[in-house]
Amino acid sequence: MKQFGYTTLTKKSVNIYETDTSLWKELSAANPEFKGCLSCGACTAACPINNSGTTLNNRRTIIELNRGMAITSDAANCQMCNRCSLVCPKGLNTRRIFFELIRKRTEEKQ
Amino acid sequence: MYKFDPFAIPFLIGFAFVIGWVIVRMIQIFIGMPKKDKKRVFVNIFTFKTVRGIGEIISEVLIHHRIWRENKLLGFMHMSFALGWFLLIVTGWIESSLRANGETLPIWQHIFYKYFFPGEHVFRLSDVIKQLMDLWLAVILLGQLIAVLKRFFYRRAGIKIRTRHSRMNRIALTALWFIFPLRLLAESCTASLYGGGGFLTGSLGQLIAWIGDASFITYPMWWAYSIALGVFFCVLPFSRYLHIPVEAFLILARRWRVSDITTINRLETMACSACGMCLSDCPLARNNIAGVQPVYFIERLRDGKATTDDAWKCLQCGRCQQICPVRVHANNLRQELKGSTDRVEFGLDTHKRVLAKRVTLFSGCMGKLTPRTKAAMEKILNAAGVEQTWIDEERDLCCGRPLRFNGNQNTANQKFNELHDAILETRPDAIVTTCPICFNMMKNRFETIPVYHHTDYIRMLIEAKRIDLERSEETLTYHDPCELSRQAEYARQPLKVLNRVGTMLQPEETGEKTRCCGGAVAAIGLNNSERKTLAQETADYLSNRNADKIVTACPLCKKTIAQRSKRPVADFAEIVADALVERE
Repeated sequence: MKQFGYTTLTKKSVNIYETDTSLWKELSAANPEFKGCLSCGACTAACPINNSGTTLNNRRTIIELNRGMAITSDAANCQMCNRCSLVCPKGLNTRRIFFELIRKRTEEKQ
Repeated sequence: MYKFDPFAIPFLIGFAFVIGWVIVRMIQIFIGMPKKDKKRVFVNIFTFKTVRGIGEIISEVLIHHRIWRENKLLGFMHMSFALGWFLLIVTGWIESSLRANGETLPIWQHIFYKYFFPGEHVFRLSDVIKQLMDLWLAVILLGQLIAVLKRFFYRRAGIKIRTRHSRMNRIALTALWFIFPLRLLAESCTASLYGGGGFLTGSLGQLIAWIGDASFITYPMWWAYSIALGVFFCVLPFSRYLHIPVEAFLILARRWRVSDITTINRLETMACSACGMCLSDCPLARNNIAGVQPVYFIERLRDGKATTDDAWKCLQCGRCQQICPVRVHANNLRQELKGSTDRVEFGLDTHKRVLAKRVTLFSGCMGKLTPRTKAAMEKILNAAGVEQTWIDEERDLCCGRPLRFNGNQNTANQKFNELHDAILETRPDAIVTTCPICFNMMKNRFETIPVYHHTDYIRMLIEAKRIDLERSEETLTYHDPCELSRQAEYARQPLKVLNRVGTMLQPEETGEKTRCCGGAVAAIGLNNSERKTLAQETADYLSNRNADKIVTACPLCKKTIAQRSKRPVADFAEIVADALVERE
C-alpha cells in the first residue's frame, strides 16, 4: 500500500453490512429509551469508575452496541450508583445497560 | 342429647388440617434455622421476652393496635373479627365446661355447644355468659357489616386503592363471611325450638318461633355452619388468612431475637395478611406504574411466581413497611429475590455520641454531584472549629449499597471494605456523611467510631452552642429523605433546627410517612418516563405549600426534585450555612 504520510484508523471503521447488532436490537426493544441517547458523554464524565482508570465507559458501550462492535467495557465494574442517570440530559436510565449486560451474561452461564 | 353428630365432620376435618399444616410448617422452619438461632430460641423461651411477645400478640393479632392507629374504622373491623371470634371461642369453652361440671367434653361439643346442649341450662354465671356470647357475636356481625359495606363504599373507609384478591383469597373470604350469619341462624333456630339464648339469638329464636316451625331448617343450618368452618380452615393455609396463626409465631421469633434472615423472610411471607394497606400510599400504585406492592408481590412469592418487575421496579422507599400492620419487611424479601441482602438496622448509630475534634467526612457518589452541600459543610465545620478531612475529595469511594440494591453482594462488600480502610487511615474521632444511603450502610459498621448523618451532626453542634444561627423571613418545606426518616428513624429532629432558621410549611405526608422522590437507587427497572412521573408528583406535592425553598437532606433527593421543581431546592447544610452568624 502506498504511504501518503497519514494513516487510516482501520480499527474504528465499521462495515454496517457485516456487523451483528442483534444484541442492541434486543436491548433497545426491551428498553426503548436507550434509542434516545445523544452520545453526549455526560454519563462517562460523571462516572466515578471511569474516573478511576477502568475501561468502563457508558457512552462508548451504547455506541458499540449500536454499531455491533465488541464491547470494551467490563460491565461488572459498574457500581450502580446512578450518577450517570442524574446527569443525563435526557434523564435516561443509563446504568441499566450494564445491568442488562450482566444479567445476559449470567443467563448465558446458566 | 347426642354424643356425636355427623354434621361436625367438615369442621373437624378442616380444624385438624389447619392445625397439622401449621405445626408441620413451623417445625420445618425451626429445623431450617441455623444452630445459633435455635440456641437463641431455647435461651429466650423462658424469659420475659416471651411474656412481652404474648403481650404483642394480644395487641396486634387480636386488637390490631397498629391498624387502629392508622384508621379507626378498619381497626374496629379487624378487631371485631379477631378479638370477637377469640372471645367467642374462649367464652364458649368456659360456658360448655361449666355446664359439663367437671366432665371432659369432646371438642365438637365445645364448639357446637348449643346443638349438643339445647335449651336453658342453669349453672354458675350462666346468665352472664349467655348474654356475653351474644354480645361477642353481635360485635362480629357489626364488624362484618362494615366489611361488606367497605366492599362497596371503600373510599368512605379511607381506602384509596382497593386490593384485587386472588381466587383462593376470595373463597376463604366468602367462607368467612358465611360463618357468623350461619352461626346466628343455627343458634336462633335451636333457640326457637328449645328456648334459651341471649339477647340476640334468644330474641331472634322467639321471632322465628312466632313465624313458624323451624324444626326442618335447624339441622341443615348446623350442617351449613360446620361446612363454612370446614371450608375456611381447609383453604386457610393457601390464602391470606394464613397470617392468623403465623403472625403469632413471627412476633415470637422476633422477640426471641432470631437473626437468620431466611427464617424471618419465610415467616413474613406467610404472615402477610394482604390487607392492602400498602397499596394506598405506594407511589407506583398511585401512578399506575407497576403492581409490585407487597400485597401482590408476596402472594406471587408464596406461589413461587415472582416476576422480574417485582425485584427491579420497586423503589424500596419503605413506605409499605412503615404502614404494614404486620411489619412485613418487604424490602428484605425483595433483596432475597435479587440475590443479595441489604441488612440495615433501623435507627441511628448506637455508639456513644461525641462532638469530635477530628472528623472525617464522606460525601458519597451522589454527594459529588452536589458540591454546594460540601461547601456548606466546610463553612459550618470551620465556624465550629472542627478539624475536617474529606475522604473522597481526590478519589471516588463507594459504600457498596447501590450494588447491594442491584444484587451484587460480593463486589459491594469489597467496595465497603475499601471505604472502611480508607476512613480508618485518617484516624477520625467521628465520621460524618452527607448521604443518608451511605449513612445507613456505614452506621454501626465502624468498631469504635461513631457515624453521623450531617443533619444529626449539625444539630449536635447547635445544641452544644458551637455555632449560632440567625432567623430569616424565609419559608421552607422540608422533604424527609426516606432513608433518613424511615430507615434511620430520624424525622422530627431536622425540623427542630429548621424551625430556628425559618418558618416551616410542612405537607401532610411528612416524617416517617414521607413520599419517595422517585430517584431511589434500588429501582433499576424503572424507565425515564416512569421516573419523571414519580419525581414530578413529589415535586408538585412539595411545592403545594408555596414555600420559598424546598429543603432536603439527601443529595439524591435534591438532584431528583430540583430537576422537576420550579422552586429552588437546597440541602439542609446550605440552609444552616446561610443562617450562620459569624462570631467575633
